[in-house]
Amino acid sequence: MKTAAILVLGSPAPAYSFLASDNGQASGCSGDIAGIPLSCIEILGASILQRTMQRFADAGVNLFTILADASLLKVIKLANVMPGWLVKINSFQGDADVWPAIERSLQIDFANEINNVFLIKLGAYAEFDPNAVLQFAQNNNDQAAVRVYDTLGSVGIWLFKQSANLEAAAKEFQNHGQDSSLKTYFFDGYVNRLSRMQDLRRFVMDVFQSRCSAYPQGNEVRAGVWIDDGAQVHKQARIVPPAYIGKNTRVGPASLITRSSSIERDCNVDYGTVIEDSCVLAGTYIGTGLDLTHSVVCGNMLIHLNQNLVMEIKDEILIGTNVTSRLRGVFRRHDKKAVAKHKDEHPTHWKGIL
Amino acid sequence: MKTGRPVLVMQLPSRLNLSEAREFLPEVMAVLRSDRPHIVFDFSEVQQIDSAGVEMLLKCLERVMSLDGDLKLAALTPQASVILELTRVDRLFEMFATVDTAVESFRGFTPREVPEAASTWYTAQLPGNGRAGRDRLAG
Repeated sequence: MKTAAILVLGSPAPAYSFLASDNGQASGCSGDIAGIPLSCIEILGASILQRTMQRFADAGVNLFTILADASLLKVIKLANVMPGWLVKINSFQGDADVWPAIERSLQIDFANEINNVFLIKLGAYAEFDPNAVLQFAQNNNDQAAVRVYDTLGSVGIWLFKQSANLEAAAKEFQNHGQDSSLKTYFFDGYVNRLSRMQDLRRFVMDVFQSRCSAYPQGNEVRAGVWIDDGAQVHKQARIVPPAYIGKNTRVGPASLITRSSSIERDCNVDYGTVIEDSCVLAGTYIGTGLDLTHSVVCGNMLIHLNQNLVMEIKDEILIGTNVTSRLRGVFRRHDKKAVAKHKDEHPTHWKGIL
Repeated sequence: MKTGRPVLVMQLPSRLNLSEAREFLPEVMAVLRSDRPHIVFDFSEVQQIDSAGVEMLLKCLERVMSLDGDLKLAALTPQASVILELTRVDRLFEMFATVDTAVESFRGFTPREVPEAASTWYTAQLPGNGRAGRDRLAG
C-alpha cells in the first residue's frame, strides 16, 4: 500500500522564532532567524524537517512533497533537506494559495494511486508512529480523514484517503474551527511545538536528557560528547558533557563548552570563549574571550532566553557570520579596491571582514 | 559510548586550603601518569575550600586534560558548591550527587536530573489533564 506525505512550510502559520512576552502572547523577534523557519534550522545536526521526514521514511512512506512559500524555496535547497529521498518541492504565493496548493498535491498523489496521504503542517516536532495512525484509521471503518492530537490539541498532522472530505480538513487546517467529521487519533508521546525560541533550547535539553527518541548526529567520542565529521576541537578546549559539536566546526583553544550546549555546523568558537547553556546555530562566529550564557545565536543575531531579548550585534569581531580563517587571511591581504571588486561574487564571505 | 578504563576516586581533605593543597597536589600528580586518566574527586568531607584549593583543582584539571582524560566532582558539600559557583569554576566540571554516579558516568552517558529551568519549560507544556491515551477515539 502506497503512502505519501505532504509537508507544508511557511504560511499560514510559520514556525518562526518567537519570544514569549509578559502577557503570555508571543511577540515576533523579527519574524524569523535569518529568514529560516525553526523547522528548517539544524538542531543537533539535523533539522526538524529532516527528522520528521526520517520518521515517515522509517514508517514506509516513499514519496514526499514539500510545499513552501516561494520565498523559502532557496532556503530549503540550501538547508539540504532532501538527503536521498524522492522529494517534490512545490511553492505557493501567500497565505491564500496554501490550501489550493495542498489540494493540488493531494489530487496528484491520489491520481498516482497513492492510498494514504499524510499532511504535515510543519512546526511541531511530534514523536508518533505513522503506522499506528494508519492502523487507527483502518480499525475505525477505514476512516477517510484522521487528525493527530496530543494533550494540548492538534500537532498539525492529518491523514487523508481518497474519499476524504477535504472541505472539513481545509477548515481545520486554516484554524477556522474544528470539524467533528474528522476522527481524532490521540497519542501521548513527546511533542515540542517549537513555537518559541525557548522551545528550541528545550528540544536540545530533551535530547540530551533522553526525554525523546531524537539523537544528536555525529559520533559520541566520549560519554555525552557528540562530535560530527570534520569538527576541530583544540586540545586545550574543554567540553563538559553533554554537548554537541557540528560538522566542520572549530572550537579554539581555552574555550569552554558546558551545560548542555550545542554548536551546529560551520561555526567558529574563538580563543577563550565560554558557551554555557546555549545553542550556536550553523555558520556562526563567536569572538574571542566572550561569555555566552542562556542564549541562542545565529549569525549576528543573539537571542537571550533569560532576558527574553533579541539583539542584532553589528560588530562582527564579537559575533557574526562565520568566515574560515583561511578566507580571513586571504581577504585581509586585499586592499579595499580589490574587496569592492569581488564583493558581488562572494557576498556571504565578505560579510564581517570589511 | 562505553569505556572500560579504570576510574580513580580520590577523597579530598576536609580543609582544602593552601597547606592541604600543597600536600594533596603531589599525590594527585603522582597518579597522573597514565594516558587518558579518569578521576573522580570525592568532596563529601570538604568543609572549607579557599582560593588555593580552587587553584589546585584547576591545576589537576589542566594536567588531566593534557593527558586527554577527564576529572569529575562528586558529593559536593554546600560549602564547596558555593565557592565553586562563586568562582565560576563549577561550569568547568561535571558534578554528580554521589561518587557511584560519577564513576558510572565514565562507563557511558547517563542523563541526569532535569535542570530547574528546563523542568519549568517542560511542565509548562504538559499540564497533565489526563486526556492522553494511545489509540483513544474521540471527536
